[in-house]
Amino acid sequence: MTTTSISMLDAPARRMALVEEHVSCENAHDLEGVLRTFGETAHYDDEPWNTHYEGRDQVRQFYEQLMAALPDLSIEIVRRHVAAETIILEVIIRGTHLGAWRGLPATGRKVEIPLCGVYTFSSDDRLAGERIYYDRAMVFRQLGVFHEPQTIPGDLNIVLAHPVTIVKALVRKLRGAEHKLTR
Amino acid sequence: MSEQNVDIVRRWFQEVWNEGRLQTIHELMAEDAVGIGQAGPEAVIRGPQQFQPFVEKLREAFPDIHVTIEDAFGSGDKVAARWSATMTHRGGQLGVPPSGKRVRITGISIVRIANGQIVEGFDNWDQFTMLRGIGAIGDPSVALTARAS
Repeated sequence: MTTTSISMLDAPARRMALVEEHVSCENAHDLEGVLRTFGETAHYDDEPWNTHYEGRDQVRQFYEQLMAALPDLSIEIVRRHVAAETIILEVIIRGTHLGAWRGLPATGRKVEIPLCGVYTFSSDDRLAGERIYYDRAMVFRQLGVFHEPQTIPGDLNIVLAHPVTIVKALVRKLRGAEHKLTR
Repeated sequence: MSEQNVDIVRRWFQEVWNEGRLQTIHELMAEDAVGIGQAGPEAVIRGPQQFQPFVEKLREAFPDIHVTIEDAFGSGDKVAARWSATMTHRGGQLGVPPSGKRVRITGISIVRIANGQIVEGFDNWDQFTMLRGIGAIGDPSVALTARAS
């Protein structure tokens, strides 16, 4: 959708069209197009990492990293929620991990992640910011670097990565048993 | 109507999660309600009969869990709530020995309400923050970077 046709819509429809344009640019790997959907005070919040990108340069940096990590990135919109000041999308992110992502060297594995994106708007009806929610455990599991507790690899991981926690828990358990015996 | 729906969601988080009032689950959740994502991205919980044991298990693992609604708003029959939760790991119900560690997670819930009851809930939150915080897993990025170097 072009900017001209977007401007003819009412406010909620105009904002929804802008968000659709934003996602289309993400799917086309059109970084400049993505940035054009933001206003001057762009920000991007990656909630699971508690990482906050302020300003257009930092937002550009976020997208450069993402598009390098998942060069075949695709985003499917599953549901759209339109409120007075905010639009929320439920999407599925897909891609192949072919570039480093936050310190993780490329694994070559595919990821398919449900993600929730919250969009806010500037006074001139451009994107003020996007805040995303997703589960990193699911990402790491699909990349083969995370194992659930209560599985053998998961149990081994707990013992190897957190020996102090295990020993403390054991001491607490023994003290509890001792306390019961002396009562 | 939107404001009433927001109040229902606020009451849900306060009474069910912060106060552990199990009766509120049966009052505010429809029998045929469906929850997606509360127990993990693909997990489905159906009705109060399945939601109650889920709450009991988590509150036994984290008895002092406290959810704060950071923002909430309604649109039609839906409510979106952005929340944070702090909790101390005191029980082994998640398959991990109680660590005594305090963790903070953030997430978002989108809830649909009909006739004063929750009929559908979609949650997205970062399980990894919780599992790493309580010592269930190490840091994969550190492990893999070390392996690659």
